[in-house]
Amino acid sequence: MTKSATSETKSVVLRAEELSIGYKSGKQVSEIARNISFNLNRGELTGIIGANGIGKSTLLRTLSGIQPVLSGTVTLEQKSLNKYTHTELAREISLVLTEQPPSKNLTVAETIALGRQPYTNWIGNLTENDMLKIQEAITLLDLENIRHRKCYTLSDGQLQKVMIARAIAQDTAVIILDEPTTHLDVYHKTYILKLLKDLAHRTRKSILYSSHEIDLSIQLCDKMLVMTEKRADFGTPFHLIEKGSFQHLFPPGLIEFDCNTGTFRIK
Amino acid sequence: MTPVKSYKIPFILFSFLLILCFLVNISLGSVRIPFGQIVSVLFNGETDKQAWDYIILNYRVPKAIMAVLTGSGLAVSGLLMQTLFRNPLAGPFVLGISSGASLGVALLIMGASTLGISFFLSSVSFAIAATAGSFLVLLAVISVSLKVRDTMAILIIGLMFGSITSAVVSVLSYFSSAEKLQQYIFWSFGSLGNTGWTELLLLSVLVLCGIVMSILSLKSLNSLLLGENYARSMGTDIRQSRLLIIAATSILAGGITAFAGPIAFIGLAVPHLTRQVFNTTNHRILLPAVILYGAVLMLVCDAIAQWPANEHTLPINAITSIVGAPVVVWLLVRKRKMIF
Repeated sequence: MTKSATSETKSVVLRAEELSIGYKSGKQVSEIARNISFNLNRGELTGIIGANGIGKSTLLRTLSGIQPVLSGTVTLEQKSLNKYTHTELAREISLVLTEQPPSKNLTVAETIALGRQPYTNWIGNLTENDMLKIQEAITLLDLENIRHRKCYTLSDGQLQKVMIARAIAQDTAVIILDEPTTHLDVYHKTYILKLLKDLAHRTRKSILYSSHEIDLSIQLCDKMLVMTEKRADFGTPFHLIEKGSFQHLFPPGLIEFDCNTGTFRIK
Repeated sequence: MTPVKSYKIPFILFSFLLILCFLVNISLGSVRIPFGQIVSVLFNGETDKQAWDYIILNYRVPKAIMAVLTGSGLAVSGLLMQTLFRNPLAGPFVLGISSGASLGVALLIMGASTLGISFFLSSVSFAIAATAGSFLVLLAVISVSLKVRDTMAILIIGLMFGSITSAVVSVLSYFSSAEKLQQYIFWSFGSLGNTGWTELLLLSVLVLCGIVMSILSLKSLNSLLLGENYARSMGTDIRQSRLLIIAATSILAGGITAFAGPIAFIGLAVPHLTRQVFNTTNHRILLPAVILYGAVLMLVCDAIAQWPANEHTLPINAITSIVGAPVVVWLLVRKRKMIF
């Protein structure tokens, strides 16, 4: 594996320190999670694991600038996240969301081309460089044979690939994916996560995703962030297993983490 | 978006169709004027008979231009609403803009007389009242949209404003005299005729403003096709572009309702009809396409309205509904799902 290569050129793209996340409406502040610290490095795949409602989506929304940080800092490329304008941020972070696009009448190529919006002029003209980036994304995700198909004719797995290609075309240092494996069968789940790992290593992008696929993530991630009620642990999967982070992931009694196999078992 | 197809041929065809419909529209009417004379008056400015000159230049041409302006303007506002609200059934009516205009006119015709104040009821005062009414509803919708993040909520609020205004109109009509009520009902039928060149100029400026604002929104409209969250992640300033799109719609729909009365279904149906020919969601193709299609459809509807060829023309609002509603039903039945 490329472990040695990544450790040599390890460079931090995004750094979160003592982060506290949640919702603010008026004077009322409802904190969802606190004390989250982690780094996203170039060329690494990072997975966020946690039970339902622990704040994975809120964390991703905060990192992508949709929601303000309650306390703590997020630094992106040595600059505080809240100092970025809309367009600047769009050139650094791209998103792949769980929600289906409302209009699926776009073709695959058109959808991917939308990823170039942060770079195009006021009316959205594509330059030759834009076309090049779009073609790169199409080739990278092997979408050449369906590039003229309409999105409503695609399967869930294909659509997910298209949305990932769109994020690649956006040409950002960080790609954030919110539960990219929902609605997919076990083969396609593995396929997508494996693909993300390859993309992170090949394109030197930092890819962050949230998921419920704990066993797959343990096998595939370079780094993991395990969110529990009390704390958020960050490190390599091996390190986290040693530390016993997965033991506290769910309420005790029903299932139990097996350190030897890296999977959960019914008690 | 990648320009996969440029749709040159449909655009050329529709431009020809527009010119043809325009000429046919002018040649139809209660007075029979030969087609050759129509062409000659447009190019030379005169025909064999002076009466024909007068009819064509002061009645039929303004009416045809009015049809083009209303058709294309309403179609554009429908397209903008459908993309902004991610709802294939959105149109200028849904935001309550048209009902706001109706409320303004109803207050002018019926409210003033109930209160014992008499106004000079001309088409200009109707226009002012309608614009004021639609503008007030628009202000309410915009102020709500600044607070509410969810576009679906704005859509529902628009519908509620519509309900309130129509309730007020009902109350007003209950108390007003038969004569005033008739006057209001005639306005609500909609009319493309009786527009002078000054009013036409004013409306053209409004429609042009609306279209320019839509052109400025093209990029954000395309990004909104993937939903607001994706659009934001691609650098679109959601609040600002939403404001621009809503403002464009209300200028178009408010202005048109002011001068031509409430005209139903054009805003809703034309974007769907256009997508049958131009099978794309790229707004850079769709915007000019709905402008052409809306103009053509409105000219056709107006031609049908004067079909009896008597001194009476049918109410244009009824014609657009009769043409528009079955089209929407047909599209739904045939495709089972409205894709936008």
